[in-house]
Amino acid sequence: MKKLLLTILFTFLFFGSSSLAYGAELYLSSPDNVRLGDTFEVSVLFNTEGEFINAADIEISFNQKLLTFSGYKESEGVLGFWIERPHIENGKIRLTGVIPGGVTSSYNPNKKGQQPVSLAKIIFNAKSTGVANLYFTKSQILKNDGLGTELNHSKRSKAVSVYKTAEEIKEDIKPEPQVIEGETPGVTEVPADTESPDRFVLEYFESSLFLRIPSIVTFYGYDAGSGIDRYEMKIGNKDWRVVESPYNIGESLFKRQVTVRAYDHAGNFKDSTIVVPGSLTLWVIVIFITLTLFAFAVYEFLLIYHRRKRKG
Amino acid sequence: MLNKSFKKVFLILISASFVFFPLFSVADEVLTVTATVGSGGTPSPSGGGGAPYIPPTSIRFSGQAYPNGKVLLIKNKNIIAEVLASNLGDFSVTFEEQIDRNVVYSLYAVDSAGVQSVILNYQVYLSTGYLTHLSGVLFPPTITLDRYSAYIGDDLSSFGFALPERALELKIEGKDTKTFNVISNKGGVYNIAVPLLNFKSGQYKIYTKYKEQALTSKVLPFELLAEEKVPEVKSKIPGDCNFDDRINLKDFSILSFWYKKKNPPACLDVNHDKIINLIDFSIYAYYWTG
Repeated sequence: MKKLLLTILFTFLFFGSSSLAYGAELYLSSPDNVRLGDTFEVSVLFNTEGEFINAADIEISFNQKLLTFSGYKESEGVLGFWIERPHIENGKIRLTGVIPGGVTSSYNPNKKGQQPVSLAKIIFNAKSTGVANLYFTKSQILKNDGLGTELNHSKRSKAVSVYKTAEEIKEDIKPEPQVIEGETPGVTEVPADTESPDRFVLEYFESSLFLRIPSIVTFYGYDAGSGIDRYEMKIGNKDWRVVESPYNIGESLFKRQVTVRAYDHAGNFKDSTIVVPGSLTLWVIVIFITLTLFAFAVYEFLLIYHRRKRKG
Repeated sequence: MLNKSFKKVFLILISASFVFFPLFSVADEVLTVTATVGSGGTPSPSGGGGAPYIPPTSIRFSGQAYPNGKVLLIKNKNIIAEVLASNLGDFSVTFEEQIDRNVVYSLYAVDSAGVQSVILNYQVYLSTGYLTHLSGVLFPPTITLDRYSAYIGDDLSSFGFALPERALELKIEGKDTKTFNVISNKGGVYNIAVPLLNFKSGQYKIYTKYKEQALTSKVLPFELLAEEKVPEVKSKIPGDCNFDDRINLKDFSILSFWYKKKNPPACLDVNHDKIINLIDFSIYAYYWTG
């Protein structure tokens, strides 16, 4: 009996502590079982425990032999202003963004009480059979308090089994899919993204000595279906090149046409164009010509004046 | 004929059975979220062998802002709807949607003096054919100051809008912390001259809130000076380095340029740790005006 109590105490202290230490919790929600070739969604959920949050920096590790990162559902997460949109970095998914004004929970009329916030929804493709573990290797979540105070939280990982066929899933030992509060278990079939990204903001900012910035072009695309994968830029007749926002456009004497192309993860794209002014503006040219003509007129006047003076 | 009546009864039954009334309390803001079939629109003509009628999917936010103020609804960084509040501050804004998913909406209000409220964000789960209604939205009061630096012993004047005849608390926090009580008038206006006596010099922040609500107005910084010191020219919003009284995408872009870079301009580095990181972005997000 004593042994049993000690075992329970040990288990409680060492395994239960991570989830009991903090009320707030970061976790993943997805279907437990998927078929080979399936495209499925994984929600990054955060139970704020009533705190307002406004920034998150998250790193998720997953088995790259079994799963492929195929994008994210931009419309279904609160992190709309990306500092680093979901992407692969050192074999892990990295996402960093903010929520201006902050958020504390989500609302679902079909469910009682406050629901966890969906920070982001990531899309995966199952490419090999086996059990894929998804877990957080880094997470920093900040309160909306004007100070950037970190909100301590616990983390929960998720395992997804990839089977060859639907029959194999039925024969699996787990008869019921695990339902996590606040999230409906994902449907394994995610419709293909055939829509181009939305028209996006493309802005030019002049260099500033005070802020120590060069002339930059910024762009923020939006794609509801699979999220923005990359941006490419074409300046005048030059070739397309992969760029990130904000982009140091540099200075030029003449104005330039800059086109930015936003690609989503399905390969659809949308262009947006802006004309970046050159330092040689019309006014500068007019002033230059006027001054040249004026100098020439003065020179001619002095020449004639001196000639007449010599003659006289 | 029987088919028509059956459809009608079916629709009424569905409408009646799918009304939910869960209550949420977010920082003393009592929100009610309901979902009802359709949005009160007239059903399309039935009969024939056409596709079944699907009522429109829509979202509605209702609650209280400021008398005759404006309320704006934002989705994907775009303003999608704008309504005027009544002379009591009540508002209701509805937007027809196309989709069935978790949608993030932002709301902000602008009072009659043109001062913007804090931004309220709501992630809402929508279902096709339902009107999802989030009621009980309550904007905290707006706030402005007559200046952003003052001398010890001065009176600092604070002005703003709230709901008519409501008890408010104005808080000053810094080296000293004090709370002042004020009641808004019938037009929702409150105006208070705060005596800055018995305060130590230094940086302070000031905000208002309804007595019964935890959610506060925007937090404004101000500097309290000892008599001999000349006030510095400063923006009233931390990080507003172009002095346009706004924190928006432009400021976000400039901050992004300096992300993870060392020794950024002091004005951008709002927490003064000599690097632009997530904390600076969080502070910008807090003071965001759009």
